[in-house]
Amino acid sequence: MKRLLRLFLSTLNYAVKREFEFKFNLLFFLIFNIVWILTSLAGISLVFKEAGTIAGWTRPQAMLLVLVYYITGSVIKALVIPGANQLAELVRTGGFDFYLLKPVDAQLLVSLTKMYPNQLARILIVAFALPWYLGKMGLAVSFGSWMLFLILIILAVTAFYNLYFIIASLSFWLQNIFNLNDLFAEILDVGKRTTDIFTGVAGGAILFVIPVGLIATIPAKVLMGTAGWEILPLLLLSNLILFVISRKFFRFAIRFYSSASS
Amino acid sequence: MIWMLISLVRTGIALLMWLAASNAVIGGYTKEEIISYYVVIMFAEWFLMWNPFHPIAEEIRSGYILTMLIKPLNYAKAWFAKEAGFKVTAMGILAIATVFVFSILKILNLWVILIPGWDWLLVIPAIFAGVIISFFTTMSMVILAFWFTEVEYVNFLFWTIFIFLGGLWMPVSFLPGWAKTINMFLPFRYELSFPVEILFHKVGGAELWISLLSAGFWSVALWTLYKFLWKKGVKAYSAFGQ
Repeated sequence: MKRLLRLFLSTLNYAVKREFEFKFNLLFFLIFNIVWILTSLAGISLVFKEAGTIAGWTRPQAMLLVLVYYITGSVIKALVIPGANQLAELVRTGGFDFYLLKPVDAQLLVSLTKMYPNQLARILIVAFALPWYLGKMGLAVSFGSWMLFLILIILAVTAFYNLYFIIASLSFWLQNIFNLNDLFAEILDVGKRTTDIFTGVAGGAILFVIPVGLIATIPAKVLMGTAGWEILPLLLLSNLILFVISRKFFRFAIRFYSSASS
Repeated sequence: MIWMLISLVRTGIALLMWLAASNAVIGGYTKEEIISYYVVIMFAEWFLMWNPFHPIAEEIRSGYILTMLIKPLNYAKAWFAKEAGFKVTAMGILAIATVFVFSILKILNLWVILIPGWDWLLVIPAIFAGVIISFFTTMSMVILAFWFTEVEYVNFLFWTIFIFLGGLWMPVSFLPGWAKTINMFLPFRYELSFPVEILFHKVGGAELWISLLSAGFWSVALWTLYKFLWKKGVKAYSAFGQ
């Protein structure tokens, strides 16, 4: 565990330094992301001006949802998607050989050695905006709710990690998973809207199977005080099941790996 | 295939969102109309958005474009033909997607409401202008790669504005009055939204003719801009390892 943590920190250190090598790139990224967040909020504002409420969500609540989305979504984009994409590329090119030879679990190594730290800058922007916006909404969030909020975000990240690795593991059979990144982004993007629009079986699936509801809807509800700890046991269980499936599927898929380089 | 799946997901979510809206009339559209709008805009996006940005950016960055430059063919025409070929090939998948979407709508007891009118004749020039504007906007943006190593941000900025003003996120009628007027003189609306607005009879009178003129103007202007940038860019371009 200690060794893995050291490996993760070293990779993070390297990725951050590499990002700062291209300062103008980072600056443009920050500017465009601020524009993107403001555009999203303006879009939500226009939509709600016309729609009234959507599935019981008002305009300020929907804007809070978008802010929460940018926190969870950015962590997933920074830490989860790069690794999953890297797996597909490594399998296709045969570079996965080198990961199999190292004395660390191959899945962990692939996951830990690729990340986009520039996404973390977006989290910082929103982390400042969120408490201000909550204050503007007149919401006082208790310490317990903040803790639950953090736990839910961690659960969302781990759930999506497992889900994406299941999809990325398909690359052991498929030659090239084109546009995988776009598909990931689209699935994530669904979380920007309230998942209360899904009802019945779809409502359950969107929370426990493809846990899009965990990205923003449930954490936002916790901040608004309309959801509490009661949801946690089921989410933990579904997360555990997803982890077991993902792990077993990866172990199964790896058997079909035939190196492209040798 | 994946981009089609992405469009289906996006449209499905939009449908559910609007079904869950509390107001009956939304931005001048009834609930049934707005649902129809998102279905039509999905198909329109498949047909009208001709944007081979990433492959061309890669060709320029990697230097592969040199193999094209020495051939006796027009680079823009070659890519236009490639895109046209792709759109024709995608028709088969599109047919499957159409059956799928309409089956889902039937299950949900929803219908795509389109009432024919004389103004539908103007959809043809609007579509033609949409394709030209979409293609030459992309070409003008991507050949900036002749000068800069990273042009992805230009594309990102374009899409940030386009999803708003092009009618992809929401009908342009949602925009405030002043923004709608400015948008009439910008190219974004003509890439996607304009033909769909005509289909739904949401644009008429003087606005219709002004919009058609504006679409024509942008088709010529962007084509000219591309030709100018191409001429300058080819002279400025240098590739390594070739």
